[in-house]
Amino acid sequence: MKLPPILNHLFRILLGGIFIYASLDKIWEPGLFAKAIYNYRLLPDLLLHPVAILLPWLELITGIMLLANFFPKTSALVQLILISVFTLAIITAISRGLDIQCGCFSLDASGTRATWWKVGENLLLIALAAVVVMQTRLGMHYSLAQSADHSD
Amino acid sequence: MRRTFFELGSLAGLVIIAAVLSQLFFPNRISFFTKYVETEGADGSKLIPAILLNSIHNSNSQPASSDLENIPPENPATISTGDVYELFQGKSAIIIDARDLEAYESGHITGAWNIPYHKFLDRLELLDPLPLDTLIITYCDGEDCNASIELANALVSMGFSNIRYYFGGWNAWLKDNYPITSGSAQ
Repeated sequence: MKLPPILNHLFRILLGGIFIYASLDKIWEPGLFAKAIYNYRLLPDLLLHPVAILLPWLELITGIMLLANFFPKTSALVQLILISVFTLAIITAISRGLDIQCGCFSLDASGTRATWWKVGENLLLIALAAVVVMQTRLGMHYSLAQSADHSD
Repeated sequence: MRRTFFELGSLAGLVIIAAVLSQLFFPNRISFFTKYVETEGADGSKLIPAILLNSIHNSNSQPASSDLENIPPENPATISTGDVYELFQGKSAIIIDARDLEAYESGHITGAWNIPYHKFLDRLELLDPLPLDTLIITYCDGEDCNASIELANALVSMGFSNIRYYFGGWNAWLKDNYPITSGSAQ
């Protein structure tokens, strides 16, 4: 099923914007983000710093790519995988009884906790990313291709 | 498929370039390789990522050799179960339980205060009367939690100069059959 182009654009821009926003605090405070990752007790300590440095940039760059409509399908696919992994991490944290900060947007001590509510939010984001992946094409001429499709 | 790999490769390249540049220019950068500090765990010393502590261990820059003797003592510093017990007996330190109220009420180190780390700001009034050089020990469950370290960091940023985090925590205290109490918070 094809969505109207305006909705496609809206979803793509929304998803890109969310990822850009989510990356900013982490890029500025990689130390705090490394702590947030450590709290999940899933990664070996050796990988804490590399992941804390690289992951926020992956979020930012895929977010910018989505906004710029450049590699939209691959960027959305990467984001879909990222949100799915984050959601699984939150679910395992809850099931292990860890009362930890989510590390999703804000890295303040008073930031969002890893809760079922957060899992629900992430499921919505997964649905959004899945729609963007399904509705876009590879390459950098998404809007022209989409418009051509709909004018046929 | 080839196109997808090309795009994935391009994204990966951009991410690596941006991350490397950020490591050169960003003020809050961390080293690419995880650094460790030695900490007193329940069964002797243990290495934990230095990033957990707001200490000189996290600094990327090395102090000038002329400043070496001026490096302040580690704050917060680690403390062993034996030392906590000694201070407990001498009543010469404030012991703070950084776990939530439910865990605290089900059992805590006798005389410990309860300041859950993530509700830290709500309980600041407890700390107001304390001089900044008060010896304070923080603890949580043990090696599987780091609320004790986080609370210790927060106390150091408030200006307290004599903070210890008891990494062995509640589990190590229980293991050695030291005095415990259950019941309500102070």
